Amino acid sequence: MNGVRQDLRYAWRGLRQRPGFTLVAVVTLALGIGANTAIFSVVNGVLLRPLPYDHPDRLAMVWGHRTQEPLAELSVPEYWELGERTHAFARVGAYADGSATLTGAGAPERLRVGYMTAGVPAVLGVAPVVGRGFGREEDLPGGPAAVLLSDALWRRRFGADPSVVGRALTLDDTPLTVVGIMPPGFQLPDHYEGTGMELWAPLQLDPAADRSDRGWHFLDVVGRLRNGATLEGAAAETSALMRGMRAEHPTEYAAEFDGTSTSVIGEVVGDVRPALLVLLGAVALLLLIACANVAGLLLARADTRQREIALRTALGAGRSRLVRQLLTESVLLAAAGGVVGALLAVWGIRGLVLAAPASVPRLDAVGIDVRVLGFTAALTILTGVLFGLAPALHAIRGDLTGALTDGARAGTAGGRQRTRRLLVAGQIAIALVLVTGASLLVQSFLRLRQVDPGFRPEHLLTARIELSTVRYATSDSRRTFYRELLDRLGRVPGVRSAAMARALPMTGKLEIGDWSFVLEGRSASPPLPSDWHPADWQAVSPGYFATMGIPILRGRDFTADDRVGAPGAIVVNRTLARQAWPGEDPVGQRVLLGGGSVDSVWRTVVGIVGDVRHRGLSTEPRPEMYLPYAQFPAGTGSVTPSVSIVLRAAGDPEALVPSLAATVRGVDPDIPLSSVQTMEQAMGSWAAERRLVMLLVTGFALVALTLGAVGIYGVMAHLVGQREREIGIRMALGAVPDQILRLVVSQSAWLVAGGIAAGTAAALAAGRLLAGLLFHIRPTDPLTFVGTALILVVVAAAATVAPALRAVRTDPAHALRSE
Amino acid sequence: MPLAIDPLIRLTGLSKIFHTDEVETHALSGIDLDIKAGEYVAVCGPSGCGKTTLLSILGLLDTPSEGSFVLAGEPVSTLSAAQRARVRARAVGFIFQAFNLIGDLTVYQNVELPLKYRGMPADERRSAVLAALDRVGLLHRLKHYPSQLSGGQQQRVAVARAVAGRPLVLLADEPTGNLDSANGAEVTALLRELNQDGATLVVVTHDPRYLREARRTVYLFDGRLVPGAPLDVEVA
Ligand SMILES: Nc1ncnc2c1ncn2[C@@H]1O[C@H](COP(=O)(O)OP(=O)(O)OP(=O)(O)O)[C@@H](O)[C@H]1O
Ligand SMILES: [Mg+2]
Repeated sequence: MNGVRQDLRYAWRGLRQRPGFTLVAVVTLALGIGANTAIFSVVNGVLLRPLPYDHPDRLAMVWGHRTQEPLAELSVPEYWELGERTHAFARVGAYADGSATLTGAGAPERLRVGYMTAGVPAVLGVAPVVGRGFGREEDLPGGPAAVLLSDALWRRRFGADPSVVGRALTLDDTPLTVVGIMPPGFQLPDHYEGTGMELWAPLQLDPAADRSDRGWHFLDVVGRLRNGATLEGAAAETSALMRGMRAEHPTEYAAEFDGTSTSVIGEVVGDVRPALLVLLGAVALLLLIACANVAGLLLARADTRQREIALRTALGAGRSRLVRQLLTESVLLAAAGGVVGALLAVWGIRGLVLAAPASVPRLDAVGIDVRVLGFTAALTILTGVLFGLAPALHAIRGDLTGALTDGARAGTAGGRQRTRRLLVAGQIAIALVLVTGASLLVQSFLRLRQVDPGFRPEHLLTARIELSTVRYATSDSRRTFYRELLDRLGRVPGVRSAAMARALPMTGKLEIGDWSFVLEGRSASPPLPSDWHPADWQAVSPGYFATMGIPILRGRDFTADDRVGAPGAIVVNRTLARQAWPGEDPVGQRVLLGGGSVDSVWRTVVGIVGDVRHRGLSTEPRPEMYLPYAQFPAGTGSVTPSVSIVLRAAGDPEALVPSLAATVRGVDPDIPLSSVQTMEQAMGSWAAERRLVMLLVTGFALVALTLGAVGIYGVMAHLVGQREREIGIRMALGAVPDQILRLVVSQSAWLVAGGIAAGTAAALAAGRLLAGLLFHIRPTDPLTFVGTALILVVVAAAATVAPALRAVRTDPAHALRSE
Repeated sequence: MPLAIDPLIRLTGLSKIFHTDEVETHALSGIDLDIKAGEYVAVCGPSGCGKTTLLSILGLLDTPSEGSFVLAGEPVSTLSAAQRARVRARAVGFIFQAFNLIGDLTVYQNVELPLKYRGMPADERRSAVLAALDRVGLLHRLKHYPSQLSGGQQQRVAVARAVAGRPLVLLADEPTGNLDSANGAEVTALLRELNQDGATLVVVTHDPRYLREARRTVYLFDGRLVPGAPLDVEVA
């Protein structure tokens, strides 16, 4: 124990004696450890911290499967049959999401609402902390209206007052009774992105629903595996179930319809996992570079300490004791780096959580906890041993007697030099991996930004509007509201044009769902599965295409004449036109949407418009059809109560926000407006996750490049310093300056060449990890690799210039003046 | 054969001033010195009198501040660093007190190095290296590294390195300074043989034995040649 104290004191003194070295080492290590701690805390919060469910590994999601949509939500009959016909699940529950307007106490507020079957909390193994869950009665159609509050809403809107349970709330003009409060942080699987749901209402599925109507897929289904059942078994059973349904209802399903089950954990975090793992890999590499740099510094120092160590050995210090002492010093150094790094991380985590887009789930779980602290501590010790071991071993291994005599000077430093060179080559390799990754991500991002979204996003303001389904119960009342609102908006000064759509591209929920239709005169009766043409569906107002800047390629836009009672109209996008009418002109052709009575008229194609990348710039446009909202649906369905408004501004779209709000209030003061943002903001947040990963990896790559350059400079400068005399001798023997330059540069060149070769191999291997984050560029893109190698050559050359010049300027007369 | 009429080396009015932190050191002043081809000249004098400075100017490692230096009929005091390096590679062989072998290179590679710098073709290099090492009796140590040799052996390698390229002049600064008397005698004998075979030698020394070996001794005091000093005589 005494020995350890002595080692510590000795190490502390050693570090204080060389403040410059200590500062550089601590800052380098703090950067590496801090970045690792910050990213790990995100990984910990998002990926590692268990989901707040009972045994979350025993939970599975259940999906239908179509080629276009590999994980498809279920329809009501599918859900009932899943419960009746499978054995892998002990129990299943279904849920969906929506939104509703809370009125009464305070300003009207639009809230995200989860609708779930009464059994869902039991499936997840979660119970309300106050009150109770939904009863059987409440889950039946027409049952008592009940609602569960989220902890967040309970605190925000009701001051965490437990007596709110039992009270009535007004949601969408309907009174409901609060029956309970869910635990803090609770969300249904897949609802962890953004703010999540703020309250939950019973789904009230009808057990007696028409089992033949299978077209409406809106249920997320979660099941708890029976004891002994596996996820694979559940997936196989689901697949068999869905294929069985297809056989029973051949007209309802496409030929490839199938089903599967996936893990709930994957469902919650699956989308961000690759990005997080890439970031974790990047910071690990950064730390390795930092370690290599500090090890290099220690090795350089070991040259000057060689005599001291030889002396200590001569005085009887054992080798293990020396190693311990040297390791104590490096672990102390690492500890200082760890502490500073942890402070950097606290600050970095705050920044990360602020910068992270809402699409990253569970951000509220991100922070420094015991696991993160343990990780940092372990990392710190590992780091200290990692960068301390090589110098320590070298220190005791070399020819100790040699260090005490003069003659063999040129020979003694050889081993250390080799290790330092290896370290630098390693740094170059790692820097190359990071720079390659960053370069691929930057190029992906730039290419993504160059993609034509299919409309002109500049000068557009968007907002979401939700009508109360009680006060606007009929389709007619909704049409009247919309017409009135668009009319008034169109007259607001500064507004070029106003339009609306069921869902705008790249905003909010991106799933607009597909719907199939048959072509007049081209399908069997009843239609075969192959007669159905699926397409994403939109309902829009006249002027939508002009407002958005979507080109009309043929035919016409909708007009006010496309109203109820007029002949049904439909506009298709270019992709759909090519798919459904290859080599023909679709304008004038007629189609009938599937699903029976919801929309039961033959519609005539009146126009073809350009493709829009609805689901984001990185997703290819899909076949899409547009229906005029005023005559949709033209059957027993009703006009949607929630739509997106889009305004094309003459100038700055943000300046229109107050007049938009005032105009909506003018039509109906109780209608809340939500998601007010410019189209460019919406598209920006859509790309925000990519952008963040790109910026982080680029930042790490720049730090890596800097550390690598410092490493090369350090080794070359040290080498030249050590070899000043040798260079003088070579000059005395007739070497011209060019030959000296070549000597130094070739040393550096070998380092760089070795590093680049190893780094390229590693980057090629690591590229697969990155593939999912890339866009229109392959992870093996040769140009990127050549470019990155060039960058490293330039950086290495820059780092070699000063030492090389110093070598050339060596005074050859030194050779004659020994000591 | 070296030029018979002109001296191989002619220094006229040569001086060297070092400037350091406002201090001027007149290391050499007004040196006039001729050395003929085939001569064996010993340079002696007290410490700090300028012996090493003189040798580094003779070896074109340094340039004089004033005066002229003509080597084999060619003025060399105004050459550029690169030009001096080329003359050095061709015309000068160095033997240092501290041997100054390069630790990373083998005996063979050490001897070969100046020949490489001179741009000699590989096969010529090989025979020259082997001949030089044969001459110093170290043919059996070609693959050894300097650290594996004794001091005397290292200095013999250094001699081989200096003579392998058949330079016009061999310059040695205290070549036996780091050797015991037996090894020193060996190296001294080697230098004598080289001179008898026609090599021109300038040797800086404190060692009285050299003064006997040398045909002529030049005495330096405070940067000046001491005229008519008893030792500056031709020993016939
Ligand atoms: N690079 C230099 N800068 C400044 N002064 C120098 C330099 N080299 C030599 N001197 C000075 O020039 C003078 C002559 O030095 P030199 O090395 O030639 O002496 P020396 O005769 O070889 O002595 P020794 O017998 O001790 O080797 C000394 O006073 C020395 O301090
Ligand atoms: Mg001297």
